[in-house]
Amino acid sequence: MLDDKLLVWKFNRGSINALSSIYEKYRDDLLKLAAALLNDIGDAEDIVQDVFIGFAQSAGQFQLTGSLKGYLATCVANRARNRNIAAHRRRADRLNGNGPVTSNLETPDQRLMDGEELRQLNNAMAQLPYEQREAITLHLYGGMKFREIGLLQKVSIKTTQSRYRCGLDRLRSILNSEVQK
Amino acid sequence: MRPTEDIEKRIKNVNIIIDAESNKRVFSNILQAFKKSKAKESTPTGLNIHRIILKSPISKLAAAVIIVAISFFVIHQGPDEQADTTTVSKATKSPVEMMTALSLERAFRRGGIKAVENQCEQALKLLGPRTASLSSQELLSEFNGS
Repeated sequence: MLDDKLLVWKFNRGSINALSSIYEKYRDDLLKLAAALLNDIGDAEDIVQDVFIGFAQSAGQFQLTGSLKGYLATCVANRARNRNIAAHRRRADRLNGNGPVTSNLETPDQRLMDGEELRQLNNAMAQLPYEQREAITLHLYGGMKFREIGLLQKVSIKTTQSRYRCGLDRLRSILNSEVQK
Repeated sequence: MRPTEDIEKRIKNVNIIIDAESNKRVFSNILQAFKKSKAKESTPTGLNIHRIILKSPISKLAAAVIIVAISFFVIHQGPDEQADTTTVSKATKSPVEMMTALSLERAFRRGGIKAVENQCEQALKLLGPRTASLSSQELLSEFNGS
């Protein structure tokens, strides 16, 4: 926490090293968070880049009130939710015959290499309701407390905890059934 | 280990492999945005003091107090005294104006009977040397400034 405060202080004074340290420190967890929420590695990388660009643009006036990781994770979750909503709309348009038909296959210039384990986990995550997925990933990858996740999702702590537990139970059964196959 | 802890650990420890080349490119984009924002910040805006005052509530209050104090001083001290001395000297252009009831009353308020006498003397000086015999008609025409 103090380490983050010092990094933010240096970042606000124009230190490139501080920005680089923040990026290196949280990049992996944020990528995993975005990948789990979107189930698309390319989109995940785009979102994390956008979040860091937004953060870099706030240099000189950024004020840290809670945890830096929590702040960045919230930014990623918000952008992921918006992207999911937009994708859902596009899908609905396609089904109605209003939009272009595009392939869902991975693009050849896929920049991030997702391991088998991550792919398996994200596929299992994709089967969970979005709120449960968000509660699990924000808690485990974003390091956020249930109270903070509750504020983000606009529900009580109890509901967030219940979403988290139910999600984990379901995820476990999905992954176990895949192993048994 | 409980099954919940097991699955939590599995999710947390999942590996993500990042391509070094793309990572470099992403960071260079971030760096570009960072440098742009720094350049924007360093350009002179001309209203920096104004911004500082507006940002801090204490300096806001202090600025308001200073402004009120200055305006109070200006209203109650500065121009009133000056106006008294300057208006009289500006108003007393001709002997006629100096001898009006209003002008004499002002002089009395300013410095009592002595000020009235001074003003009369000044009016007489402006009129110049008098002849021994002066008709009332001549006196009136002279007072009228003709």
